[in-house]
Amino acid sequence: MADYILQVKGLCKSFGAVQASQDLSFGIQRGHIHALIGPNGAGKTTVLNLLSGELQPDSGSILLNSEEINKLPVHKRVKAGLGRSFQITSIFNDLSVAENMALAILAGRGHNFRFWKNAMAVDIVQHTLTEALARVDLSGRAEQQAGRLSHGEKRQLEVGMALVGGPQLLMLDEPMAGQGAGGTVELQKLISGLKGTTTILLVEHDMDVVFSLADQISVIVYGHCIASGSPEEIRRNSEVQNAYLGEH
Amino acid sequence: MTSAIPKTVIIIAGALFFCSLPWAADYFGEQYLISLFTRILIYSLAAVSLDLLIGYGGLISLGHAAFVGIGAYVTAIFFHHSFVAEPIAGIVAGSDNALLVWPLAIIISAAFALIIGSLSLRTSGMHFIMITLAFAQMLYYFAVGLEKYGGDDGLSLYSRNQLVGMDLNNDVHFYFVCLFFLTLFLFISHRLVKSRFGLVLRGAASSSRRIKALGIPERRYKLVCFVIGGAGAGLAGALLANQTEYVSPGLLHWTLSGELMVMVLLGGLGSLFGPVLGATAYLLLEETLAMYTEHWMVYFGPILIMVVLFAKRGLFGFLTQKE
Ligand SMILES: Nc1ncnc2c1ncn2[C@@H]1O[C@H](COP(=O)(O)OP(=O)(O)OP(=O)(O)O)[C@@H](O)[C@H]1O
Ligand SMILES: [Mg+2]
Repeated sequence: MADYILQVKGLCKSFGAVQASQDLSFGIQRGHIHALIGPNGAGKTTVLNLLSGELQPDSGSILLNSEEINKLPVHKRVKAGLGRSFQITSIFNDLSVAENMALAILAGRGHNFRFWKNAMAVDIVQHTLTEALARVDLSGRAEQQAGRLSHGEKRQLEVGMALVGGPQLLMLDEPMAGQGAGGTVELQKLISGLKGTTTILLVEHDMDVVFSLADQISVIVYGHCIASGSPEEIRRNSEVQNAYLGEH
Repeated sequence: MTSAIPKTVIIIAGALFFCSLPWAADYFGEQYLISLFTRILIYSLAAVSLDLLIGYGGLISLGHAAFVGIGAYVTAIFFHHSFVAEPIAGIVAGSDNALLVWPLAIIISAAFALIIGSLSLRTSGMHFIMITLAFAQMLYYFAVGLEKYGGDDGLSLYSRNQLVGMDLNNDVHFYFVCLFFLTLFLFISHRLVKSRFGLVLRGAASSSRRIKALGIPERRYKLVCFVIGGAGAGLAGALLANQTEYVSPGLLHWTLSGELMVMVLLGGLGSLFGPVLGATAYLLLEETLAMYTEHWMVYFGPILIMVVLFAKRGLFGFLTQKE
């Protein structure tokens, strides 16, 4: 039997008349890169928001490692192993790049009610900061204010920050959007390098990226999951062809 | 801009200035400068404590005067009861001992900040501004209603507190005590904002969404910040009560909160040393303009607007900017 890190059962969410999620059910296997694709406004980001706890579902359940997490607030779900990057880049614009990363490093390590010692001089920061920045190609930018990075660099920083906490399940909302060709290749390498160690839920519009990285793909259209399967199955699925892939 | 002055140069210059002021005042025979600058030191302390909230915690509080007022009232009430030799509420003996009363003023202000903060922090943005204002005004009217302690008219202390080894009634002694506490609070705050706690706080002010996505429950950090700010303001209140030897409900009024906020903005938000500069500039301008006209606000307003428009990071930012 497959080992599911995350299972979603009968998830529903509507915004007024818009049904953003309609009876969604799918499972993500441990170690897989699971892609979520679908046209604009299909409800992909809504799924991530429901999983991360920013939104509460109208009905349905979310199981992380077979335990229901529906009731947990955002920060507890992070503690339980969920990490994410946002479609609209969300970093600490007012802090330096190094401080951004240091904060991400420190976030998962005990409480932060330490008032005296310089945060940047904490052992764990000293030991891991350089590598964490290098991993997302930002070594040369450490002292820069994060708000002044290019769009692509902000993306790299955000993914790096989500990674450094060592999440069990990493959710990436269109990480390639706004990246130049070089950045896309770099990020793709980074993500495929995580294969096997970190499970990834990847929302992405770039089909080349999706089909080369994903182990499993779920297709969402108008809030419905119309198909779920391996890249091969999805490619052959005629409903998906008609509803979505055909347009591309 | 060309002439950026390194921060340390400004800070050292400021420290030298404040340390030598009593001698300068003495030399020029302008004794009133000592009490003017004592007031500046105390307001600076209050402004720095507000800067922790606004500049680092992103907590725009329009009720900071409440904590100044509480600190001042605690000091005055203890003094009063020690003076008339009657226990407070029939239980606790009054005192004029600074080493007892000032820590109490700090603790009680902090306790109020804990209560007000934990309720106010359920909201954010505009609502937070309004709710902090509402709490402060509530306490203001409470002070007005304190008939036993002078109500509207306030309460006089007949002397300053006792502090071992010092004579606080000596203006120079008192000046240096205030300078010591401002320096101490600046040092503590400086460490604080660079610590893990400070990093989380600055992060939460920058992006609440990202701090949550990192798994950090931001509210408790903001609450601790609010309490530390309240404690600093409480100390400022205790010193202010000593300086003027008088407290009144005006110390809790929102206009004082507003003045403190102007000092922070004028000096430079989120810079700690900026608010000292801001308080100094504010009170000196007020003093100078008031000599010429009682409508000094008419001239003060435009000056403020100019500074805020042309030096977005305040006077401190203007002096230290790099570009
Ligand atoms: N907070 C909200 N309030 C109201 N409507 C919302 C909200 N969030 C999403 N929606 C609506 O729900 C639907 C799904 O939105 P969602 O952002 O999940 O789509 P998406 O698949 O991520 O699209 P895209 O590819 O453009 O990012 C859309 O019709 C959107 O307008
Ligand atoms: Mg989206």
